[in-house]
Amino acid sequence: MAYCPKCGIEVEGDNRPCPLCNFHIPKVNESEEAVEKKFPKAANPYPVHLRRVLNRIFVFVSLLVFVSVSLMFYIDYELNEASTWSRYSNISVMAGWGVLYFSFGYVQSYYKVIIGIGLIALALLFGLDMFSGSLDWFVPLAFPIVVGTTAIAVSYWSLIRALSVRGFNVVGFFFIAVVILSMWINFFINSYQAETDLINWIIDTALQLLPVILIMIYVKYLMPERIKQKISRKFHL
Amino acid sequence: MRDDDLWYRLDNAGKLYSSLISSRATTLFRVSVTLDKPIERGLLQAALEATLERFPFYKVQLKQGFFWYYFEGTDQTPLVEEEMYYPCMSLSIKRRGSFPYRVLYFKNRIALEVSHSITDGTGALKFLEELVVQYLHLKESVPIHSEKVSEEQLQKETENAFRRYYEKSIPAPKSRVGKSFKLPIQLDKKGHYHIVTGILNVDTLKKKAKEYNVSITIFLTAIYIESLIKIQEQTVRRKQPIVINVPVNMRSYFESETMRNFFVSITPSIDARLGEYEFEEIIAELKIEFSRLLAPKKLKQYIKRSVISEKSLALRLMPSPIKDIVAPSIYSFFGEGQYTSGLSNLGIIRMPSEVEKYIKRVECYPPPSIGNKVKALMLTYNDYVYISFGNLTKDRMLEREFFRRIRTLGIPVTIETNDEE
Repeated sequence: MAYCPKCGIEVEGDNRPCPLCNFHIPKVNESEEAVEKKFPKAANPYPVHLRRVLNRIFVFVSLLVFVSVSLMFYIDYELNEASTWSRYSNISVMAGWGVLYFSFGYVQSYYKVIIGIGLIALALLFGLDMFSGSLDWFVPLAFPIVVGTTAIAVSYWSLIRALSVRGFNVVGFFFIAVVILSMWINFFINSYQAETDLINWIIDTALQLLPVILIMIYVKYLMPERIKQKISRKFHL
Repeated sequence: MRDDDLWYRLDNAGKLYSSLISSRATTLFRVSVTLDKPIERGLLQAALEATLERFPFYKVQLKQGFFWYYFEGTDQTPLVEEEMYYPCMSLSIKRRGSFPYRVLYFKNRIALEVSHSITDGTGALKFLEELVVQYLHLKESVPIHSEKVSEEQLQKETENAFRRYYEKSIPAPKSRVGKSFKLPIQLDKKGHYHIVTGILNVDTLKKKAKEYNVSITIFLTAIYIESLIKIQEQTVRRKQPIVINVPVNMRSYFESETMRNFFVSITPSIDARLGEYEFEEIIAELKIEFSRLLAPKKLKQYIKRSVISEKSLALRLMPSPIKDIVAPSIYSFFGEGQYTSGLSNLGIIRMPSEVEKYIKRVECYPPPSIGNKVKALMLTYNDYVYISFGNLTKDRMLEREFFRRIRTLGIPVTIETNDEE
């Protein structure tokens, strides 16, 4: 029989961590015979069960999407002898279905999820713009904004993954990402309205960024440890 | 009467538990015996069938009625299974065809995992005892006295004892409101449940308790509270009272042979805000608290409180799916939310003398609960006390503190766990 030197309790098997304090209990038994296991290697059926339920929901929703798309197309074609209004609803429903596919955990990598949803958004916006006859706002507005959002999301995610200390950095970089994104969007909206005054625009955003930076510096270096602890407790991810 | 004509209402504790069931809080607790030889599946299955002949009211399945859940008789037979999941986990008793309990075996151990919606520890132990006797009858030819159980006896065993001792005129006890200390630990993954069992020699423990002139239950509850006070000091700044939920087996105070729930919870507490408590002070307070509450007159008040809730018309008229939605939050607000943890003693277990020599040990595990992520359940069999902690988290702070304290009192402890890599 072996004892944990820290807890003083007796355990059956030696040469392993103490079940209470994880302190490594040294080897004391001379004989090599293994201690008989008292419990099976426990299986956890919960993840499989959850997956099965999600699969069922997804299949059901897919069927629903398929039926509704066909139905709308059919009604539209019967009434107008061409695909008119149903193009808009169908492409939206299909895009929603695509987003559902990505949000149900079928794609494990977050990079692929972000890029996938970005592509869906592009396709949807392209379609919506196309259907009205000609491409009006897709090239100057939708395309750069969606691509920018995707790129910023991808770089934000790589940055978070590379961080050794998460905590406030996750929140901080999120703010920075939002600021950059708003700058990006702002730029394209302004240029679309043909009133880009580049210097004005940079001053605007820099002024917006300044308080954020100040708050972040305060949080990182000046805020008392106790309040930091409290915030990280309340907002932990 | 045909089997599928049979149905019965849940008792008031069962009604509450059936609405609380979730993938984590399965309401399953375990009683198990370890024999001297490996278990044979076929014999165990036959023994289970024989046991169900004796207790036909356990051959039931939980069904959802419009207002309440109920148990319905069935022609199906539960099958014994080899243990493969975490204890007390991964059985959804609400699924069609599922029983409110399961019988498992692993090596030398027979385990019975029962949902609290059908019975409490005493009922489960009675069932397990019959199962083991039947098993050993088949395996070792232990004699059994098989006599036809009378309809009257069955009636007694299925009675709702809460209702029997309920008196309308008795006022319910004033419920204490307020917050209590909660262990600052995070839940582990769903489907995981960690058990730590401490095995203590009962004579050493008794001698030690005698020094303080108290029973083992009070002694261990005091150690439990002391450990929690220590953890509170180490982890949080603002102190709160330590409140322990101690279920009391009502059969020791009110005559009943029921095999359904018949217990109430008393909640001894130590208010850590009042200053530092010596171990002796905790014991003194608990001694008063236990002797004050554990009297039939006082306990009748608790029965009243148990029954009163299911009598309210608003609750009765609420459809059961809605009950399922509101029950967990109500329970965590008025029930478990008020306690720091639970410690329950099933008492001294005596097996019939003819089977005793085959039974190496008897153990019990508490049901997993989200409100009290760590709970303990203990019993005494032969020369040992088996205290099992059920823990839904990965942190062992309470177990560590508790058993270390027992060691410093000079009582040797052996620890076993289901967490072997």
